[in-house]
Parts: sequence; C-alpha cells; structure tokens
Amino acid sequence: MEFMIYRGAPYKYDWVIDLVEDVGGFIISKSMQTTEVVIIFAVPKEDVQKVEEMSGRIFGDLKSALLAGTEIIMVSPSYSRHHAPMPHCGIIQNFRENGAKVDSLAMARGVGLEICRMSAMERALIEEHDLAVFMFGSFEHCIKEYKLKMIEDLDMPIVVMAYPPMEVEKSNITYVDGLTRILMSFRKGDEQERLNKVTQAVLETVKKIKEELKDDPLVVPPIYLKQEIEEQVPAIETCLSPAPVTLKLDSLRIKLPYDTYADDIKNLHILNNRTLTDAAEVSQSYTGQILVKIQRESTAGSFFGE
Amino acid sequence: MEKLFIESEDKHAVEAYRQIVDYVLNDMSVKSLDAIHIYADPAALFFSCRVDFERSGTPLKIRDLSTERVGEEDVDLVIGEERYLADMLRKLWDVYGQDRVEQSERQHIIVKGVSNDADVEKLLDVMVVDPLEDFYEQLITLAVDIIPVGFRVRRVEYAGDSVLVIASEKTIEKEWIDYSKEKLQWNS
Repeated sequence: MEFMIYRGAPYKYDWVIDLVEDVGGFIISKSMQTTEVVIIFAVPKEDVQKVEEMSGRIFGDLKSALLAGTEIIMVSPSYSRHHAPMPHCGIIQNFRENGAKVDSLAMARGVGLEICRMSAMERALIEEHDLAVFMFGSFEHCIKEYKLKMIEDLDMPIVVMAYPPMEVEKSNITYVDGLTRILMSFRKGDEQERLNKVTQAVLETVKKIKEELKDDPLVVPPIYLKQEIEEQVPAIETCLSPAPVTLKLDSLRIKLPYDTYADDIKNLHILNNRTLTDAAEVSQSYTGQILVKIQRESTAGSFFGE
Repeated sequence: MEKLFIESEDKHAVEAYRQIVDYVLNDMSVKSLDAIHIYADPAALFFSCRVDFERSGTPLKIRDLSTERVGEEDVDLVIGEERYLADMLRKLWDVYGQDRVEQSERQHIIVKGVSNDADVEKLLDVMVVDPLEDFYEQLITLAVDIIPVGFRVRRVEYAGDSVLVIASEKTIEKEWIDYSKEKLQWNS
C-alpha cells in the first residue's frame, strides 16, 4: 500500500475517492474547506499511476504522505510567547502536511531547571502516541542535567530538538540540533532546512518502527480494522472530531466514549468469523476514548494462513 | 542587532541567544534601542539582561497642552490638543480630586480653588504624558521575551537610560544581583 495526499478544488474531487475505493484502496481522512479538499488515502502500489492520471484530469495536486497512519505528539515546555505559536505550530503544520495526525501538548511545568516536572497525566497522554517530539532550550547543561532526565522514563520513540550539537546515549531518543524557541516561521533563509532536519529524524524513526513491525507483523492491518469499524459501528458518524478513527502504526484510537461503546467494538466481526478481541486488546485512553492495540502474529497467530 | 553583547560559558547558547534576540526584535519593533547586554551562566539559576536605550520624545505638561485663564477663585484651562484630554482629566482628578475639577464645555476644564500665582504655576507644571514610562514597560516586555520562560521571579531596576532585569526560578539572592551588576557594568 502507498499512502498519498490529494489536494485540490472541490470540483469533482469525488472521482478520486471513487477510484481509490474501486482499486481496493482505503480513505484515511477527508477534510473539506471552502476552496480546498484534502484527502489522505492508501492505494495498492500498482494503481498509483491511475490515481495520478485522475488527479491530473481534475487539476489536483498529489504527493506522497510519508507520515500517514502515524499519530505524533508535539510537546513544548509552555504555551507562552516564547514557544507558541512559533515555532511550535510551524513544526506541527509540517508534520500534518506529510499526512501525520498530530496532537499538541504544552506541559504544565516543563520550563526551568530544577522546577521542571512531567506529571503522571502528561506521561500517560504522551505514551498513547506512536512518537513524541520534544522541544528543549539552548543550554547544554540544562538539557543534559534536567530535561533529558525528565523524559528518561518514557519508553517510546522520541525525537528531541534543541540548539546545541550533542550526543544522546539512550537508544529510543533521536537528537536534532539547531532548532529551539526561536520565533521563526520557516519561510526564509535556512529555516526550512532546520525544519527538514526534524522531519527527517521523525521519518527515520517511523521507518525504524515500521521495519520492526515487519519482523513480527500485526495480525490485521490497522487500516482494515478502521474500515470494519466505520462500517459496523454507525455511532462513528455522530462523532464530530475530524478523524473519528485515528490510525496509529500498531493500533487505533476510536473517539467514542469507552463506557458506552467498548462492548460494540469488542464484539466487532472481522475475518473468518472472529471478533475483534481475538486480534486486539481494547482499553480506555486517558481521555476516556477507546484504544485498540492490535496483537502481533507471534501472540495471536496468523489470521490469513488458515 | 549590532550592539548585542552576550556572555556565557556555553558558546552554543551565545549563538542561540543571538538568534533569539534578533527574531524577538523583529517581532516587537522597539525603536530607540541602543544596546542589549546578557549574562547567562549555564549552571546558575539566574539570568540577567540589561537594555540600554536612547531618549526620545519630551514629557508633556499642562502648560504645553492648554492656555490658562486665571479667574478670582478658579483657573479655566482652554484645551488646544484634544488628543490628551482624557489623560489630562485623569491626572487632574488624581491631583485635585473630582469635586474641584470640572469639564464645563468640550474644550474647557475648570479647576476650582486655585488663584494665587504659586498654585497656578504648580497646576501648569503637572505632567500629563511621560513617554519614558511607556518605554520602560516596552523594554521590560522585551527583556522578559528574551529571558527563559522558567525564570519567573524577576527583579527590575531602572537607571537613567537603562533597564536591568534579573530573573530566576527561585528567590533572587543578593550575591546574584551583585554579580550580575558587576558583569553587566551596571553603575547606580
């Protein structure tokens, strides 16, 4: 499957959706503003050319969505003028343009040297995502002695960006230098280049996670489960969120209240007369949504080999 | 900015702060700025910043904004520049109280109980607009934007054409103040 983003005018955009569905692809998200439609979708590799031709016919713009199907959290030390809207939101925008679903978090007490803390709530929220991107400051001493110690308990892939060039020993942390709380809008000079360094680090981290998944694949692809959920749970249509079923690399987030809909999700029929609980673990997220963690073949056995 | 002096043992932090200050100045567009001095010790819990400026604009007094007509028991001020009318009324209410100051017509303010020469002179010397006051505020905002967010305990000192801001995340100790002043050549 190849993930792609279509951007174009609303005129005849449904031709793209029809084609993607006809060739056996999946629509991940569709957002429609007044003058622009953005569709993120997955198509089989051999049919990419057909979609390109169709996009050309209706004068749309098609590009590869390298981060589609990934849920990233961008963490800044605060929402004060020092960090937001620039560069915090500029970085988020860049990830979104690459197809990622990005959440934004400013820590309650992420600033300072001795006073910086990560609360249990923040930690739980961050750990629900595939990847966390942290923005730290300009002093090497501060980053080494305080900020990296603050995040050392997080057991997930992390990209840290800060100004000084330095080495970080922990294997789950990718360090990117040259970008910190400078009020840049990423338009002029070397600003774009600095932003690309962060995007590149995120892409490499995602690639590593995907390779790891190849060694021990998931029993069903998240994108398939998403389609089943959308077909079998009509309540999804009542959800006002732009991405009611959010794709993650090895799981799904369903933005419906856990208490009301957990049983419906657990009893969902998937391949070969099985229910979703055979293939995945359903749990409650910190904010009361439903998290579906898909099992690996080493745990549940192959569903397709029977 | 040309006159930007940053002192720190961490050379990368000096580079970073040079860029941070440039971008903050672009964003805020503060005029009449002369120099910025920053002292940041990476391991210490304080950060100090001194901003120098060039004076511009003159303070405006009642004498500059109106013409007086001295009566037997009161003074009638005829306003020439209406732009400062609100500031002027507010200031006069502060000094003389609301019962003694009355705006009888659009361009007339009557101050009661002022008749002898000394009192009239005092009235005409009341300062209405002090450009320096707003400017100090702007400079402190600039310094706060440069200082790291975590350092929320701040001490501000003014002296002539400079503002000194020392910030920390703890109670500011006297040695830090003395040391910062020595490093930033603060004479007052």
